[in-house]
Amino acid sequence: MRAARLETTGDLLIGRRRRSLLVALLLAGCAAPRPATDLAATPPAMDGKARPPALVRASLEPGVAAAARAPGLAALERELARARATLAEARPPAYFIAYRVHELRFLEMSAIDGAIDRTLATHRRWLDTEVRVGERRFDSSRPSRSVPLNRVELALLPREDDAAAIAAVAWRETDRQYKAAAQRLSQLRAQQAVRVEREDSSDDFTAEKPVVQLRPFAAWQPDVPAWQARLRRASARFAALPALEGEVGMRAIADDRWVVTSEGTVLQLPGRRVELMISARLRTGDGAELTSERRLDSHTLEGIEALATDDRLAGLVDEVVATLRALAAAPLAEPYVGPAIFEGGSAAVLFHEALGHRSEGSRLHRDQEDHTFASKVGVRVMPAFLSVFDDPTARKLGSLDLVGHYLFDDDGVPAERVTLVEAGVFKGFLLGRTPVKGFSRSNGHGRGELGRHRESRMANLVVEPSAAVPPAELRRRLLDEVRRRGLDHGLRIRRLSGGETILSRGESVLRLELSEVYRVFADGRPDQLVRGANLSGTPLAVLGRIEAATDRYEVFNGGCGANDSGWVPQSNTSPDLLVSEVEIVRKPKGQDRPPVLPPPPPGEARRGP
Amino acid sequence: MSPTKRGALAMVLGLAWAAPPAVAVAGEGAVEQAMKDELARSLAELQVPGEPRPYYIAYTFTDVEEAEVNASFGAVTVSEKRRRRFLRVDMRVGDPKLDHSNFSARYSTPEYSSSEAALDDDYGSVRRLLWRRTDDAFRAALERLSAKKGAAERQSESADAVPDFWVGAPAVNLTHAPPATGAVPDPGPLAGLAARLTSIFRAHAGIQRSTAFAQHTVLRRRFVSSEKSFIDEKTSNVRLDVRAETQAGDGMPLWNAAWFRALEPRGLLGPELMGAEVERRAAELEAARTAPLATSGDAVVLFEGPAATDIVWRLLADHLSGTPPARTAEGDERREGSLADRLGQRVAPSFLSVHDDPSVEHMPDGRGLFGAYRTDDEGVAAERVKLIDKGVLTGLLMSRTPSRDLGRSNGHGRGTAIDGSYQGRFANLFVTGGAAALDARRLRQKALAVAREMGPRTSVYVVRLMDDEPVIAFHLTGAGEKPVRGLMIEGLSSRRLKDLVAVGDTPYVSNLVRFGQASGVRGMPSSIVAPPLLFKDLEVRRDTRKFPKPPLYEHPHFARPKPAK
Repeated sequence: MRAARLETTGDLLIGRRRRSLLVALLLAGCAAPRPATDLAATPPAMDGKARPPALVRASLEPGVAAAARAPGLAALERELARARATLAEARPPAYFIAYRVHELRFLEMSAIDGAIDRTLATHRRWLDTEVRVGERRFDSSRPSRSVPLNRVELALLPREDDAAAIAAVAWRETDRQYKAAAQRLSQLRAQQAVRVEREDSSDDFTAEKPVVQLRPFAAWQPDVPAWQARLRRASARFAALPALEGEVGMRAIADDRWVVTSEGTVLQLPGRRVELMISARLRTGDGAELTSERRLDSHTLEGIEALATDDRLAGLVDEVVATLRALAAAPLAEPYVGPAIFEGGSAAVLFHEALGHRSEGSRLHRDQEDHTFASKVGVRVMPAFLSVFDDPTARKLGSLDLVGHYLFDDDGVPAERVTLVEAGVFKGFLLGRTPVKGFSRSNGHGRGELGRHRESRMANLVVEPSAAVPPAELRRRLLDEVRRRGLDHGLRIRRLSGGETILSRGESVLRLELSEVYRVFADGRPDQLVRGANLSGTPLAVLGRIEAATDRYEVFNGGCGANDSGWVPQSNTSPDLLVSEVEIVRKPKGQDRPPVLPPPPPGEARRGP
Repeated sequence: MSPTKRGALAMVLGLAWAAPPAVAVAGEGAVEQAMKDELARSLAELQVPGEPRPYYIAYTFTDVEEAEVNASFGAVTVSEKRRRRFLRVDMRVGDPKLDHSNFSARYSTPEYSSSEAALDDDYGSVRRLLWRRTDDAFRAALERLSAKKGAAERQSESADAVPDFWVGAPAVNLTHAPPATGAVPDPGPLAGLAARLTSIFRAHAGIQRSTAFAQHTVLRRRFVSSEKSFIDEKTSNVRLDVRAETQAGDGMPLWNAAWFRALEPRGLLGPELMGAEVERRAAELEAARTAPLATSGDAVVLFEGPAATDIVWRLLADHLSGTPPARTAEGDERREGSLADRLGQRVAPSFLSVHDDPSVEHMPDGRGLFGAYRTDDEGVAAERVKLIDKGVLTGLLMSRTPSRDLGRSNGHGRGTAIDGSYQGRFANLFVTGGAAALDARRLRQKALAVAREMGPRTSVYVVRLMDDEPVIAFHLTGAGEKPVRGLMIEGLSSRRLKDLVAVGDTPYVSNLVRFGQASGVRGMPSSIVAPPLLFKDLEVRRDTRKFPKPPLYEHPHFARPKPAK
């Protein structure tokens, strides 16, 4: 089972050429760009005690005047009350009903070679209706290998608050979902008689306190012409290397939510996210396809406008071009077993794949998964100087926005900071509303892509060392280990483009798609960039071989894809780490050659006919 | 265009293209200039040592400007406008007798058809895109040609080997923008209309769900080929579909629809007339809820209105392509239901004639036809083609891929290439019954008479709306027509045309946009014009599938207030 992937480009990549890039990235698993400069300037730690990451948290308390109930929200509440009155008495009874509305205003633009390639703007209001039939102990949503989950069906709601039309859609969806849930419950009961008991006999659904919070929806007016001009200017710089296919894209998403449940929760929550991607690929004569990306993220339009200045974008394009030039000239990586430094962003993805996905509680209900940490609560799983937590309420690290931030998860449960590992000891799981043995409440990590199921997922994963060394000391220790092993060089993993992990029983593997890897020579030669390297390893072994950390934190903002819940924005933060032994393998080799003809000559602009 | 003029134009273009592309053009002419410059370079220079070269290249940019609207139960759910541009690169590698086309290579690189292109009219970026996509197309073509030659070496040579490409197509220089294409797609008015038409269902308690979909599309196609053709042709269409769904008491799903089509929004019926049509369909659907179930057995069936054009599409329209099936490593593929092997044979009763004419932009009453164009997607001038004359198959729809019987295109190469070749497809298909056509009353009399001839207990059904099975149908007796539901028809195929016993005299115009394999970037606008069609000896049966239960509680808009306790 390919359970989890992390990537940053998502479906920004559309169209044939870009689709093929997306496939490459998906196969690779992830993409890794992050702003390289935000935190690297932090002065290195000089003593053994590490400074904590400079997280900026948001308060769950509104702090602003509660918004008035919109007529559409009121219509949904009325319709939910009507549905509940009927379906609670039905056989089998519906014991939980929820309406989740996402008013999604989506803007996507990209520019290639100085010209706007795509501008897509949509505005839809989607209704996701959940009906649980049976009882908490055993309900229609229980995971089962032999009875597939019902598909999440979205329905379009009117864009305006037309109460009659909204209620009509909600009524039809509720009736449909109830029938589907009742049918599945019947199938589950039938197969229960002939299957062995589940390993974890927890309830199927947690009981949570209802929450009522109405936050105002702010205005949302992206300046499309200004953004188009900005993207044109930035992408034109790729023309410096015409053989390269470069693209500058932005995606701005306003996701304003309503959540209404039969438990009494009523939420109105604004959601905003803007991403800016700079990516390029280059085909080399030996068939390799080299890629490089950079990325900027913000919670607001104003934020991205301040970040993505012309100078900044030009600098990032130049970085991508320079990276690809250097990679094209770099030697191919050789298989390698030995020590490596993971610089912060890469280290963060290592933890995401090795620890994070294995801490997602809902996986314990999948019999086909390996349940790495099911029996490890209270057990040491990594060196005592390391702690790991996940905190969706963290909005920023320093000045950098964390894309995994939210205050209420997709179930409508308040987000909580969850300690996964404390001083090397595994403490507990990330939980949505599917309880696991010993953990009967959600901690606000029920997440899912729109139109997919919600599962427990990471939000903002943070690795925090209690002791740190300066970066130069980390490098010195790397070289000590290289010499001790009698090697010529060690490795420094500067960037990766993503990773994936396999969680199946009988196969617990992680793979990292490395994009910038340097050989660090024992004899003092300058570091040498190599290309075509991937990392492959077993999660617990890698975690156990972490030797030291700096307290220079970096963030990997990206998108994480998994099983039934799809893609969610997610961030990972870590300092640089020294791992005493990693295994590097070669990337699969491509077959395509560069284009037959050279790029067309640039023409001077003259007036059209 | 006269041959002399055409020759002169080709010469002028040839000279223009031969000039080195020293300067770029900004603005409106940039795309055209970039297409010509990169095409000239590719034709002259694209070569891998030891491998065949392209002998034909064509570029097509299709600009799409579109407004799209959805509404539900009187309220707008989607109202959007978008602009997109797509590029298609067509190439023939080898020579016209044997090139890479019309070969289905299972393991070769998929030959791409269309890719999205930059919206800006920027010479440099358009040229670079053309360069990359031409390179992709060339590689895919070389791979396919190699596989095709390999397969040919393993197969015995066919005695009737035909060339792969018709090279006699005259160059075309055309700029054509019908008046309707001047209307700029605007979702606003369509949204108002869609909301208004679906609000009608707020007075129909028996209907569970009502939706409307509207789309106004203006397409601009710019085509440049190495044969010196340049085409800049626009087309447009507007669709407004209203659909209503409900269930019968036993749970059987039922639906009905009203379709409004025109070349531009002002060509649609007035709102009052559209409203009246929606009311009629709503009443028809409500009546169907309590209608009796159909009876199984042999039957006489009259297809009229949209059901008639649907039958023409299923039994005829898709089987008139003369494009030979693609070869494979195992031999030639068979094309299910194709009439191509029956050229010159009787395929329908002698009263039936069929032709296709893309040059007809409007019906005599002014209704526009979606399938109208001047040149097809291979840049060949459209021709009227007589397909069935008095029941005999006399012609087929041809692209530039010749067949054993027909060596040239008749301007029906549409959509995008499949396995390197365009398929001959219908555009505006006209079905007529000539002097034998009957009016509605006589047609019904004829239906009852045929049923009597077939024997006792033979039912007569009138089908007004078809999906995979009849959707809206009536049971016809001497006393009149009554709604019926659950009617299913077995074995509908082109062979059943022989069971056609009469046609009506009132043609129904069905404007449709076809989607599916190789249908082009925004579907393939097409039209079928067909009179009511009366069939005998059709095997029908009652739908006996299990259905979902009706709703467990009342529609909120029609719910009665609960009595006070």
